Amino acid sequence: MTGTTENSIGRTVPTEVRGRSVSPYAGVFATGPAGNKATPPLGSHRPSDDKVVDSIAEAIKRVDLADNMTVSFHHHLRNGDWVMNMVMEEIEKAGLKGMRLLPSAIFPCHEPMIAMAEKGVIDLIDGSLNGPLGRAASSGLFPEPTFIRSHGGRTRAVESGEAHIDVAFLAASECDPLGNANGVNGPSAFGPMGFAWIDAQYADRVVVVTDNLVPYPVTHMSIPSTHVDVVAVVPQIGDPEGIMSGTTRMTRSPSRLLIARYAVAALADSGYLKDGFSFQAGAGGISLAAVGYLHQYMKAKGIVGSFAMGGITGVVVDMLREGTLEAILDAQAFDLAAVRSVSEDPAHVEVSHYMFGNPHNKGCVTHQQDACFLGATEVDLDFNVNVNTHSDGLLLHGIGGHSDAAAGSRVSLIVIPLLRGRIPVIVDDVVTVSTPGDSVDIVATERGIAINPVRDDLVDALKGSDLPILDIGDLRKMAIEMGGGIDEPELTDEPIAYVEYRDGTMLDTIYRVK
Amino acid sequence: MLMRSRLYVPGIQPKMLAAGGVYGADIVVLDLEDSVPADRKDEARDLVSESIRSMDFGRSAVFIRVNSDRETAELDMRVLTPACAGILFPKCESVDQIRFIDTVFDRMEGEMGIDNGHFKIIPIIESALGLSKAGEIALSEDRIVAITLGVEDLSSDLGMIGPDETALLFAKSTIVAAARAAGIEPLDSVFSRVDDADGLIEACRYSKSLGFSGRGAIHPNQVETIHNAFAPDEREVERARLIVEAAEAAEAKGIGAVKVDGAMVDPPVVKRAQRTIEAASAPGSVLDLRKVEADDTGEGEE
Repeated sequence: MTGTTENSIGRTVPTEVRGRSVSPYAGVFATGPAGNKATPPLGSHRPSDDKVVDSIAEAIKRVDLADNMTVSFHHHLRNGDWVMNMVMEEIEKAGLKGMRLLPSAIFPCHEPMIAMAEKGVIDLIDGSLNGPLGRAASSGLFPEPTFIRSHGGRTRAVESGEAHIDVAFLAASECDPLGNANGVNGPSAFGPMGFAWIDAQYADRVVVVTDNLVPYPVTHMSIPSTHVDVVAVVPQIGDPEGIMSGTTRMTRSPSRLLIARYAVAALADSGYLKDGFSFQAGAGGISLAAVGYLHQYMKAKGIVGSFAMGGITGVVVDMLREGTLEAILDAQAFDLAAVRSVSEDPAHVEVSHYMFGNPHNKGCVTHQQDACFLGATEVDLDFNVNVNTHSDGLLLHGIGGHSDAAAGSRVSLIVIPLLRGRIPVIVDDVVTVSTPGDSVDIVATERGIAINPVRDDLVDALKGSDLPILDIGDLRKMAIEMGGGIDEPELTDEPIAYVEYRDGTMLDTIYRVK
Repeated sequence: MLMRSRLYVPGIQPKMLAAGGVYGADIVVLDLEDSVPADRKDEARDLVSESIRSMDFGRSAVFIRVNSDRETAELDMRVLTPACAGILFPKCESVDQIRFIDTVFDRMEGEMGIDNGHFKIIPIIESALGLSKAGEIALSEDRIVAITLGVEDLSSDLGMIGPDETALLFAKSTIVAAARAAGIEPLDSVFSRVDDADGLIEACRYSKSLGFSGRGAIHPNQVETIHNAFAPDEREVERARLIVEAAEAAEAKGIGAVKVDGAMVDPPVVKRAQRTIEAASAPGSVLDLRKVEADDTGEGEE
């Protein structure tokens, strides 16, 4: 690191990254926007121009892709995505080197990127590094540290020009010859294109990659043709079943279901769960269960909520259909029920992650939410949450919308088991701060619920509740008694990633493992 | 002691034993009987003993289901510590069996220096003979706080084709009558279809209509549903309050007879009203999923 400083939560962070000065994290809403939006080049389209090409190789030629450029991808097809791998294979065949990638997230299906990084085709990946790529990054795969950003934070970085995209490759399940595209129709439908929207707005060149070219005009215009340079037609963009990968199954574990019930009960006792209630739930098993209980509770009490923001699943769709919600704002679909609903129900509205979580725009959805249910790999005594690294220090997950939701919601609830195996989830200090404790309000475990003492309104509201309300230190003590202590991760002092808070400030540093 | 739910936890499963107290069941039953193979009884006793000493069971009263033969039952009972509430005694068929348990408990309580009568007994009726003696058994000892039935074994012994609710009506009503006559709680059997939440709600509603005050759970996910189902509705609570207030007023005036809405109310009704108020204010329903308004039939709970 060229220079370091300590931020407001005591984490050591850089003062300069890639020749650009960066500021330390100073508080949830302490740092506002400065300067102007990025400016992509003007473009044109004449009546005789044909945007359609029949291969990715041809698309790469059309957009003049060159060495050391930055290309972006979205992850709406999650672990079923084939587009990133197809594009990067063609980039390698074209002999390009030193490419920088700005995907919204990386999944295990993108493991071939490791070999490309080793061969020099890829120089760096800035994006949520889930699974094998994160593990490889932890061992020093990349020549310099990457940025780990939240979904909202990524859109802020793109709009501000801090993260510049030369060419965006955007998978679409339906597209017309002019480039009007969506993800809700067609055999590979995956839902809204919330991640892709910002890339289409600000990339110098935009390539829509589709396996379903239909006549002009496509009427569901998630990506409008006005931003699209090339339409590349391929046999298949991915496996729609892959949308249902990883974290989108409801837990059946009784103790985890209990955590979900505690979270909803705490919310009910907090006074926020009333008509007009709004929320966001993650895709973790406990969060999904919490939505299920929320639905049951609201039905039983006759409560009609305003909206749910997501990451949407069939459980949330059920709430809309059964009248416990009036609207769904949807930036990505987690299952096929959500995909179907967004294409059919006018109250299920597609929005972008720019609208979802960017703190520096003029109408951020998360800032309107009453509550959010979020997971964690670790929580510490200051309520800081780690969702990126495991207790051994390995970078294995992205931030997702975690810090965006926690910052904006009136009540942010972390739903976690006290132990995973015998490893305590509540620790003295998290390995990595992904979401600062000053935006985390309630931690619900199967053995008790801790309220952040800075939220004295919640402390008061839950006084006299039948719920097992404990100090977070007592939960920590209980976890150690049951699971024992854990070894500190063995880390070097070499940074491999910087956690950038959603406002662009430096939240934490992730180090290479020994 | 509230006994709406009793959660059975296999004595041979360390992870389940460790988590047994977190679900808020009124009773946690650490099982040394049917869920433990014959050749692992010693191991299970060690595990249960360790759990009782090291785990926090929260607000749950800890009972152990012992084996029914006297020798093994006594070994099982020796696992109890003063922190435990007592035992469930399976295949109960005679007052003699209860007397034997009582004698062992007398001795244990003396050795531990705790109050005589500290350990309680919940007999389980699982045979035609037991059913025919249910009344005597329920009345036989002050330690008996409830009586329940094991429907699988009982229906088999009665020659039924399977445990069917209609066929079991007489047996269940016999248990309820025996318990109520003895002033103890009648507890219904377990509901074995763990994934059938709607079926459990329906079964609990039926149990309650027969007079049972609780039901067994073989999976933690059933506890909450049972609590919600057995929680009294607003009208029941209101009626109970009227009765208790009338009883208190009568006592204050030194009048023996209690009247509510012009009708006489007997002492068992007052006692039942007190239990209703206790159940209404009891923790354990983490999430109150009862519907706000009861419908006209009085069966509006979900």
